[in-house]
Amino acid sequence: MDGAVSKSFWAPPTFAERGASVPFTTPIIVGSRVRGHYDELELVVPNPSGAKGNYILGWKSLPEVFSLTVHDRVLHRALDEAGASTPEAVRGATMRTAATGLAGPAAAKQAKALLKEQEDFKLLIQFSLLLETVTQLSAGQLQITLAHVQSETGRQQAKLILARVAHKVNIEGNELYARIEAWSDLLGPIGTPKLTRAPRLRRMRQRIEEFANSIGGWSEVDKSEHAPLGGLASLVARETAALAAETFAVADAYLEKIDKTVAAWEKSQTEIGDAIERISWMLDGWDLLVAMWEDAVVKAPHEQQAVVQELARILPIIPEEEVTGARRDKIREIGVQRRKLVKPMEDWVTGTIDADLRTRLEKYKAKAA
Amino acid sequence: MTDVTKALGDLSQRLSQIPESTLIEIVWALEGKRAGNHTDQTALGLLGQFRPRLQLVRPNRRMSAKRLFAMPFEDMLTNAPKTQSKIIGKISRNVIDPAWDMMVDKLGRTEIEQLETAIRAMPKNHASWLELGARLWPQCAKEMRDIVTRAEKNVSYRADITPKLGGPEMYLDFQDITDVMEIAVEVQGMREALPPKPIVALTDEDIESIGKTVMAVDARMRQRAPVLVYALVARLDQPTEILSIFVRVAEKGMAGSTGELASITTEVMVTDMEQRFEEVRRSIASGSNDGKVTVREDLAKEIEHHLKGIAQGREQLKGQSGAAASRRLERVKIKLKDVVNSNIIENASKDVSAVLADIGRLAAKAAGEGDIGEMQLVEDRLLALQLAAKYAGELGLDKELKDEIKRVETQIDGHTGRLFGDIRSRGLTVENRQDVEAELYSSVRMLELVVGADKAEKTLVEGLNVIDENTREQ
Repeated sequence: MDGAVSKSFWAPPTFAERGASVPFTTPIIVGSRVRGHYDELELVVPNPSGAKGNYILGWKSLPEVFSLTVHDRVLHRALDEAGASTPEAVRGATMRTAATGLAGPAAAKQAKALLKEQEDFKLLIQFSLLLETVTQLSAGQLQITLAHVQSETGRQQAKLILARVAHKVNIEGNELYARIEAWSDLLGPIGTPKLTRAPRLRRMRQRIEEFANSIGGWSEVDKSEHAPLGGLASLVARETAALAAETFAVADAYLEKIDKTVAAWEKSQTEIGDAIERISWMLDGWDLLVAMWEDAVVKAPHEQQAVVQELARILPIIPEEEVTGARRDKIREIGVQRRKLVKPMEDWVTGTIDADLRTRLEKYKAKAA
Repeated sequence: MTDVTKALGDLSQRLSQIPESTLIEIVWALEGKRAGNHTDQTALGLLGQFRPRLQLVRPNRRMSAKRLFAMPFEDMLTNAPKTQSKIIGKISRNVIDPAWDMMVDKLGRTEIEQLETAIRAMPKNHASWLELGARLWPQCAKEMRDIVTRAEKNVSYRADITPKLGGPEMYLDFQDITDVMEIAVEVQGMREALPPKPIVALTDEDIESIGKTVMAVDARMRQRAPVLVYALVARLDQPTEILSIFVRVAEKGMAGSTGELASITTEVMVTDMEQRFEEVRRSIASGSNDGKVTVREDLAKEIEHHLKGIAQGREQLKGQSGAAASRRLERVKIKLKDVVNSNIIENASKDVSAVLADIGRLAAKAAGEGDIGEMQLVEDRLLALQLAAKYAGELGLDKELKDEIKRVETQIDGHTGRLFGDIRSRGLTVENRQDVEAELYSSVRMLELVVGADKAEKTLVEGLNVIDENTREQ
């Protein structure tokens, strides 16, 4: 990397340095991220002026520096207690906090629905994986039904069925079952491509692609000075969705040859886990942007232009060191373009909590995925 | 309520969830169904339900000869009832159909059908209708002017057409349409050059387009210049912007007749502000919120917007011969004060008191269980109160607002105080801890919405400590 360039246009070079996005409802810290720094947490706040660089604060000092909503005070403590600095850890604390109703009943309802969906997907993914395993290993001779994952008796029967095919991978039936179960757990956020309804990260990737099309189309018809930022947001979204698609393909490939995957489970487990973690980092923070835009598409043009400015400021551009070659050059260029185009967000940076902006953030939360 | 009406009501609740592309497809299909038959009730009803979204999304609605006729005065249309006295610069939607039927009679079916054929031959996303309009509007202008001239001279003819148009007020609107038709090509040219409604800001290029239109109208039919004022004001986000727009036009040396239109411009601007207030009042009076849970929040925001416009207008009228207009703006402000007091401030504490009395049932809804609509309405109530705090002083409602907020605060404090006392004296079991926590969170949330996060957090921390200290294992 060219040192001079990176110094003058500094952006977090890795996902971990960029931090995991935290869906706060206090307007001034919208788009902020939490990251680990040795044993402490830090808050990375995007520069409200849209200029280069971020503000970095010790996590504990956050309530002293900003006047926070009660929801954010509770979330701040929950993240601190959990030492959460990855998208998945942040998500858990976020859901539990929203479920209290402190960000309003709609956000609470959505959080509860998502928690329930997560549970429902567990069974579906387990079923899908068992079905695929038995079909592949028995060459279509044996069958698994949904009943095999819905009760203890069903699970015992599933283990017996697995025992009949486990010799093909030189392990015992119980061990094969345990590996399939562990694999299902890993697949929670992405599922398998064969599921009729996709779990959240696969859905998110799809929504980012739709976002890219929608805002890209908008930028072609909008005649204001904000149009190029819409084009930029579309480009970043398209890059992100494409990169995520490649990583989904890596995780999905293990399903093609289940015998090899479970036979070398230790290695497979690490690789699948890494791919999914990478996907969750890539798509992290897009939830808010997609919700902002979905809300804006039915609004008047001047409101859409304002939203495009807001979302461009917190656009989760993929950190440079996470990609290579031409893609890295492209991302660096996107970062430069953004700094040229984004304007200061005066509305969002007043010291007090603006009721209107707060309500908007809560509404986006009610659309969280 | 018929099934169809109910279904339409249900539909309108889901409208905001229909993706933009689908909405445009639906509207396109409905317009096709309705083409040539403006009495198709199902299509009409559905399009009526879509109107709020249509204003926002503005899909390319299927063009018809009638729509082409109304296009130049589209921005000036109002939903005011037929009996409403004539409003300067506005045209009632109700007059379009009878006026158009007269035009069909005068121009003849063959001409209209040829126009419809030419319209159908245009590509779907065609950007300008000026060419076809230039064929239709001057014909309408001539026929309408003949009708008006004859009606002004001949009382019995006037008595004959007035009921056909929907009454004396509609006859006046018909006259306005006639005026628009006479310079429709210029008006539509300006509309196509400017950003879509509502216009928030105009570029230099836009100002130049306005200036050119003023010059063109001056050259061809100077007496119709006021129509340009109506058309422009109706398109603005803040009608009071019109004064500064004309200043900018004048700076470009293109003021033309606008310099002589100061009094009419002020009149139209003030009337527009009054009408926008009337629209607010009508929507409150209709009481139909179509399942919306942000009624008061939206009202509070709209009033803030109106107040900005009034302040801006009064500022611009200062030092001019605008004292009377300024007083009219002040009267709108007084009406807004009443609206804020009766719809946002008064009875907020009574509503909160009703919620607290039933908190056992409602706390679960506040935490997202079951139908949350009831709690969303409570939130709407409190949010509007908070939003109104921004301008209560300006309306002279500071004391009323503060007193009401204090009453809400006292009620919530009283409730949580009793709750904590109860927990301390009776203790809690692990089983009922969750319900009590939900009750605490919903009280804290309400408190935060009215008095802010610091006080609300204190109550939360105290409550959680009381719960922790007094929960028994079994």
